[in-house]
Amino acid sequence: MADDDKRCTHMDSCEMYDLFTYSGTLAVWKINYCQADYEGCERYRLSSEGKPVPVNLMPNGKTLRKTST
Amino acid sequence: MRETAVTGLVGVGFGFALSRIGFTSWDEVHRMFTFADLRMLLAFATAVAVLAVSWRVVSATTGATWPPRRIHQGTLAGGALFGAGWALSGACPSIALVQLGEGQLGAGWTLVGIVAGNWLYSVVHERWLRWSTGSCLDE
Amino acid sequence: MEHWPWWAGGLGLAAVALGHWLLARRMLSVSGRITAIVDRLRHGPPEEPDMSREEMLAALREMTAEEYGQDAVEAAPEPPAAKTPARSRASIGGHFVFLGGLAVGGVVSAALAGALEPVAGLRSDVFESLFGGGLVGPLVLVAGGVLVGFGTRMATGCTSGHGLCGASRLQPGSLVATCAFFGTGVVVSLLLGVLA
Repeated sequence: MADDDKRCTHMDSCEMYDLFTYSGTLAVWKINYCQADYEGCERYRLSSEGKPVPVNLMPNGKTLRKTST
Repeated sequence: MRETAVTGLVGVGFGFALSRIGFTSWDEVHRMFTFADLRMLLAFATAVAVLAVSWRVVSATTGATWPPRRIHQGTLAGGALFGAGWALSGACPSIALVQLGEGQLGAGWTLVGIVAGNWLYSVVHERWLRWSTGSCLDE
Repeated sequence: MEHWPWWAGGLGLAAVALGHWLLARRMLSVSGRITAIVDRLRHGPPEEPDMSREEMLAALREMTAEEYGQDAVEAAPEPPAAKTPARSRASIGGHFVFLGGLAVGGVVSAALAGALEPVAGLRSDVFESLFGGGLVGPLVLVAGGVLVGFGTRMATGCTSGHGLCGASRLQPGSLVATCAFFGTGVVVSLLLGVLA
């Protein structure tokens, strides 16, 4: 049960979370944020302030944009 | 476009049902809350029971899952404030709009209050409360 | 207006909630739509480019390489097909259309009952006798509305999201919220009954 304290309660409703499950590499985000420092996740922070969370906002505060290549 | 039209039609059906059940009548809501008439309470309980079975069927046939609704610091207090407002105004958020459609123009005041109250809470939460509601979606 | 018997009302509400999910793949929510509209008014439109799932993934791979190193990304296997389709967001226009639809439903119901003549307050004997006349009625309605708007946003749901959809899934937050709003609804109504 202690592990539950380290898991973000927003995972089931997060619009970005399932992108992190696509491959082992992308899971670094899940391991670093959702299952560890979720309070440092920019999505979690915005949501906790009651503000809308953009779909393309990353946990580190950067935004996903269309790749130029 | 099709999605928006469908959304609108569901809204019309919901508004019509709420009106015909009597949820748009302040007096009917008052009789429900004072247990003078159990009809609407029974209707509500029936809906919850039918839905409980429906979700199980839907989940079993489509594999659908839904994000959990967790208890958070605002659940109890928020619900309590909402109930007091419902008893006073006779309206929950959808009802004010249906009442307006029915020509009960006083519901315009209720609607102004609902939008103002929602706005006020968002400012209060942002300034002082800042707790996690357990979800990134506001539903 | 003739009201539906309890069983018809129950089936009608259940049909709307279930139909909403089947057609829109979203749980019925009214206060959530008001929240979305208020947020849009407060914060403006979000900076969300219209990106497909594949474009999101490509951008995510690029950012992962920037943050955690290129080698790791190149070694990554191809993604499996998504198990669930991406959650599509309701548009701000959709929120207005749904809320407008509620009002249209009221118009249709009143028209079929031949009761379209508008009234300045509410069609209610008890409310009018308690608060009617002058400024008191509108003030009570605004105050009640503020409590409804404040409370539903605080509890993240109203009668639709918590009461119908959440309670029927036995969700703890919804059960607590539903008991809370029915509880204070009963207490305040009984107090009003004493005054009336």
